[in-house]
Amino acid sequence: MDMPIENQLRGDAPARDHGALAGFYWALARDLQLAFRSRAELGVQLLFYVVVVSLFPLASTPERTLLATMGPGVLWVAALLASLLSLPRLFATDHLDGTLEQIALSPYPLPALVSGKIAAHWLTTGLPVAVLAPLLGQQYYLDGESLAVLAAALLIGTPILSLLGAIGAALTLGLKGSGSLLALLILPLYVPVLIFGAGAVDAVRAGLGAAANLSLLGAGLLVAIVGAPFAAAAAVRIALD
Amino acid sequence: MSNFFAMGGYGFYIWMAYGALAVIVVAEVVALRVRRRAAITQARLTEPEMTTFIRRGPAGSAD
Amino acid sequence: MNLFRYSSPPAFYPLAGKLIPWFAWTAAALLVLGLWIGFGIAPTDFQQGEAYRIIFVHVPTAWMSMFIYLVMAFWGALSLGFNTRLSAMMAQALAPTGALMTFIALWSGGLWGRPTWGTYWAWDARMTSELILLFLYFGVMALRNAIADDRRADRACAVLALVGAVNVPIIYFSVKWWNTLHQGSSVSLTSSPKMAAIMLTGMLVMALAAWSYTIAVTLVRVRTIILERECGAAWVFDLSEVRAG
Repeated sequence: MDMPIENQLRGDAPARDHGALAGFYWALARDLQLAFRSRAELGVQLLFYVVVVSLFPLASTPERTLLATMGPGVLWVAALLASLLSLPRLFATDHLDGTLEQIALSPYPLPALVSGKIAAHWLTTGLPVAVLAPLLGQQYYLDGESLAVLAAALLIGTPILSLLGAIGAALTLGLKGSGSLLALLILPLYVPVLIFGAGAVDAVRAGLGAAANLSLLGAGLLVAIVGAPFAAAAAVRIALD
Repeated sequence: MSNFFAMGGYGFYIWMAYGALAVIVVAEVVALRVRRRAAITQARLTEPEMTTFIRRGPAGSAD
Repeated sequence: MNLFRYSSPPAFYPLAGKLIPWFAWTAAALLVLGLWIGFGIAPTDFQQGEAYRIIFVHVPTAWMSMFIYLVMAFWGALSLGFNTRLSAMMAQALAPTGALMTFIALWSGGLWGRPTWGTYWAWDARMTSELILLFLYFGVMALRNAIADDRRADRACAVLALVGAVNVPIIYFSVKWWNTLHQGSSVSLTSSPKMAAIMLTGMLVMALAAWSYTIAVTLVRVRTIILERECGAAWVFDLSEVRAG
């Protein structure tokens, strides 16, 4: 890990495993290290989530039942926006100094490396949001069971946001106005996650179980895990050529 | 005839819908014409590659 | 007959030029026939009065909007698989027409909804999915616009179109689910009057007209795209319309 990146990627050390899992862990560890160095940036993005969630009651009403009805939707939409805000970090910084090209040229399979990056992104963005949301849900007068389901739904759904978002981030690499373009591309694809994620909490509040919504989210997560890294890797190669 | 335009009271909605269709179809065709004109003009003004090599004869010929 | 030779722009360009008038005139004839059936022959609906006649523009354009997206994704897939320029140009040519069809479907759907169910917009499954489809079209067009390099744009838009195509059924299913759960209004803007055969015929004729129109317009657009992108090639310079100026 202390070797220059080119050496690491070339695998100067003898008998280095260049399989998918090794690539995954390498990219995950590296991105987590880098993220940890700019903790402040991560903190700011989390604060964005907190502020946005707090804005909605101010814009509408402090009335209890209305807030409880709105709450799941607001908490989810804010999670989507927070994800969008942090996605450029996934590839853009590496792209700027040429590291991404080195990564693409490495002997590790690119989908595995991309998966590692996505996992790091989720750990630094989606996971904190999923942990924070139940606390913020108190502002919307949601009860304990709803908050538990909200946390569960966000835990399953935010990785999907990272996975799908990675495809968009790779497609818009280096383009002018890429932030808004990324939002335009990705938000329609986020709609099912939003519907089932917020729907899970709504179902619990209505007395029906959240099982159906959560299962569908889970199924979506599996499909995204299998498909998105390959699509994102293809998009990275397209952007680099 | 006025019955036809009134459409049983629903004339506004029906003609707004079909009117939009007409406007969009016409606009699309016109826009395509304009774009094609611009492309043809641009193509005429662009010096083709390899023409000098392929189409002209050897130096000193009538071409 | 080797059809693959038409995958090269200089071979395809004149072929497309010959095909356009056929599809254009067919579209015009079918449109006239469809409108005649829709306004002249089809009877007034018992429940909705004359307002239902909007379906003759709403339903065919909605069908086309979805069909065009799939065809666009198909050409995108071909361009990725075979690395052909012309397939990507076809995808590029289809997007604007698809977006316009989607818009007309939404616009006419709202105008149908207002007199029949009292509202221009309802969050029912099909209208909401159609709206998201419009966003998907905008996304592909915006991405094409943002990327300066043609080949990178080809590949990026192909990937995006494919991801979108996979997602469209998922989005539709999720919106339908959401809609049935929130069945506060039992309004579905697309619950059509019980289809008399003549109404169905009218819709099919209009759908064929839209299909024919789409092909004609897409061929015109792809020829223009070929001119724009192959600008500077000797064969382009030799075209009669370019020489005449």
